[in-house]
Amino acid sequence: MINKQEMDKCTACLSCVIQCPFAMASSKFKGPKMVGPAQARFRLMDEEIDESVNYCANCKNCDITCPSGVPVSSLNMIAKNTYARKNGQGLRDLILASGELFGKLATPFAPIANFAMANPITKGVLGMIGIAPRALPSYEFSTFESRFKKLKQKSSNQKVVFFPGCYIKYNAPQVGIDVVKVLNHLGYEVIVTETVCCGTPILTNGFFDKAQNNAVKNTNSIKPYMDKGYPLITACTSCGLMLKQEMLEMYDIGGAQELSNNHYDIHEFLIDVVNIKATDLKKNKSLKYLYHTPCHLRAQGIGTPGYDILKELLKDNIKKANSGCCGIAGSYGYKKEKYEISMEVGKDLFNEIHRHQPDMVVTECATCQLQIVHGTKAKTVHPITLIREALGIE
Amino acid sequence: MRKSDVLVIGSGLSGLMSAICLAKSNKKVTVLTKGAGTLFFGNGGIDLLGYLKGKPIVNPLEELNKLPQDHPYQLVGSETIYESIDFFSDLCSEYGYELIQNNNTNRWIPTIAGTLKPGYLVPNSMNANDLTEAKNIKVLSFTGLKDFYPSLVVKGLKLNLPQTPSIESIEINLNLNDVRDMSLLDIARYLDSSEGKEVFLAKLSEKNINQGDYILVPPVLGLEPNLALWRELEIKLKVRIIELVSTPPGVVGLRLYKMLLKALNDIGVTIVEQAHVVKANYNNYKIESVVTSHFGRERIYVADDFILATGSYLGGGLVAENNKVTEPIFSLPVANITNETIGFNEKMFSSVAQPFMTTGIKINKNMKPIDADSNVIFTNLYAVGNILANFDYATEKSGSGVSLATAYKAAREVLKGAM
Repeated sequence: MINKQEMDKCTACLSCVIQCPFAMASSKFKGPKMVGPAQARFRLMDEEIDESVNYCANCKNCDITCPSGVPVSSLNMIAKNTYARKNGQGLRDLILASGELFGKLATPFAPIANFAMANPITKGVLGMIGIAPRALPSYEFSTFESRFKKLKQKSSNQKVVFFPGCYIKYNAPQVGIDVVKVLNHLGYEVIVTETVCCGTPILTNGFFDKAQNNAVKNTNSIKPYMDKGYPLITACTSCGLMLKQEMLEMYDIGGAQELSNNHYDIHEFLIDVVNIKATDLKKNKSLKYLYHTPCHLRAQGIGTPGYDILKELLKDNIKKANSGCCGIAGSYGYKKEKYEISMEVGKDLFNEIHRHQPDMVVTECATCQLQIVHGTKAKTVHPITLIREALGIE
Repeated sequence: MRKSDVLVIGSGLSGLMSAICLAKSNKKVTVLTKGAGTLFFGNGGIDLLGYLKGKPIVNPLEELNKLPQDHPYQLVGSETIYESIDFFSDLCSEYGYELIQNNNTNRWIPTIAGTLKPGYLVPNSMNANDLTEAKNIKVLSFTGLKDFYPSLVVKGLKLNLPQTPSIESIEINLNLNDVRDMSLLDIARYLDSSEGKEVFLAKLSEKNINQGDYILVPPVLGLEPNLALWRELEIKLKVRIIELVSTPPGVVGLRLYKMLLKALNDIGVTIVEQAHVVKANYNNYKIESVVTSHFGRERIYVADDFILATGSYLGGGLVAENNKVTEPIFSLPVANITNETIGFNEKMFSSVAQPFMTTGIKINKNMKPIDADSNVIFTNLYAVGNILANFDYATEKSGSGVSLATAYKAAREVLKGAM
């Protein structure tokens, strides 16, 4: 857990203010330094919490920028959750925190659910409760877990645990299957144990205790495999950040450190453990790709391993975008009052995509993908899908 | 475990400069960084040498040989300093970020404190060489802008430019105050929008501005490193516009940072952010790898050569605690630590140097850290920028120049070693 003294590392240098995409886009947010370390000192005296903290998107650019190692975003998240506890939460935030529940409910009726969500009446109702006018993620009829169970894996001494997360489970199961097939191809047996939502949307929407319950459940379920030394793999950058960092910053959960220590982003695993080489990959379709780096990948301190693998393979056919945050920040961009801010933050990236005219935008983060599609109509793809294709796996 | 040709630790000016130099010579470079460097605090230009022993300097390159023998500039040598500046100027102009230079002399640039400071390479929008010819100087302020006091600028300029017939301040209200105080960044971002530009021009036209006036503004003319708005305004209004050097959050520093990041991305340098380098593995005086540790397990980065560009005390390149100063990654000896140098001058803003400013890492002419007996400590480690000993960027106004020169020199040394 972060310690209360951490705020005193802040020298008020304003780096975080300069680099905060959300403070830049909206004056409703007083900025990470002010609502984070500066006000945290007053909160120690039980001062009222400034509602401006609700405009923090937890994108982590403040942490990335800080020269003094202040956990700015986590100070903000603690304040946001305290604010929610004191002031109550609306139905809208509960819905946005409950992606997992909706996934479970919707997938058996995916076609109907997708139709219902896109229907003007539903949209009207969602608008009334404060959800922004943008497409909700669509559901897949068969979940990742049901497809995974049908896969026949060869047993192997080399085992890894894969944490799919809600989006892969209910909205993009194929990405999860791509992860499993790539790992199988490279000689690994994949274990998918029972897990719940990592807690990211739950925490950012102010349900601190519920996010903790999820963290405990996941830790208890995964920890026994960590004790055997199996790596823990994610393909969603926000789930990865939660398991690796945020769980440790927010809570004091026995065993969570072991999850963090064994955590790998799938591409980090391919580079650092499997040592995948460009020569392992067959030539890809010669399309033009633009890669977007999710903020929650940047925050992990591992660089951009997915891009690095694809760069070796695709050379000049892939370029890394240089426009920073896409603006969606998970459920943030789905909030009516934050929609315009979200689109303002994404503007630079949208412009770069329009200038570059790629055949596809490559990025690991599912909500970044949703924002890119919404802002530009570009096609998007997860790097692991391109890697699966390059390895020639059907 | 990841392997590069060269690992640069730190993403301030010296780190980014050495990374760009090396990558341009086809080295595979990775930058490991904790925090985003301190470029935002600078003035967006390059200070080479503004003062020597408290006296302002006209031609810095001619004065370099008067510096102590162990000053980083003396170790780099004047020819390489010239080259480093040319390299950097060329890079900036390649990216449309215009830095101008004044026949190898310093120019005086006005600040928001009403003072003049010497600069060597100056963003075009800060060029104030012709300010002495001005008949009417108008200092433009924005209602509600914190940390900017136009009367202070007017007062200072009247002292510095007694022959100027009229120096006054004007104020416009952009109505940007919402729930927070307005900053330079807010104005710059607003002026980048077409609405903002329109409102700004309309409000300005209500003021009594005449052709040939000199308008001094805090640095708010856009966040992009191209000065397009500045140029457009000068042409449209037929006036001279000069941006003032300001305190952080620095819009001009942000422009330079954006430009350098774009260059880095184009050249294919890998940046690993939130990479907290904690230690190194070495064998026989040679660094084999460095180790990062933040959350989770330690991670290892292997390279042939390593450039230490972690800065001084602010970003943790040097750590001072309990009467002891350390360099936390390679445990390099920190030079000039005496009872005197670990004290400080209580007159914070005086022109007398803070004694601790000359502490830091000692290097030889190859930019390699050395011990008290001048022995090289690691054969493939170079140290550049503000972490170095024997210079004082604050009173010399030499910080960015030393960063460029030492970074460029270290990159040359790495390339020479590889040949």
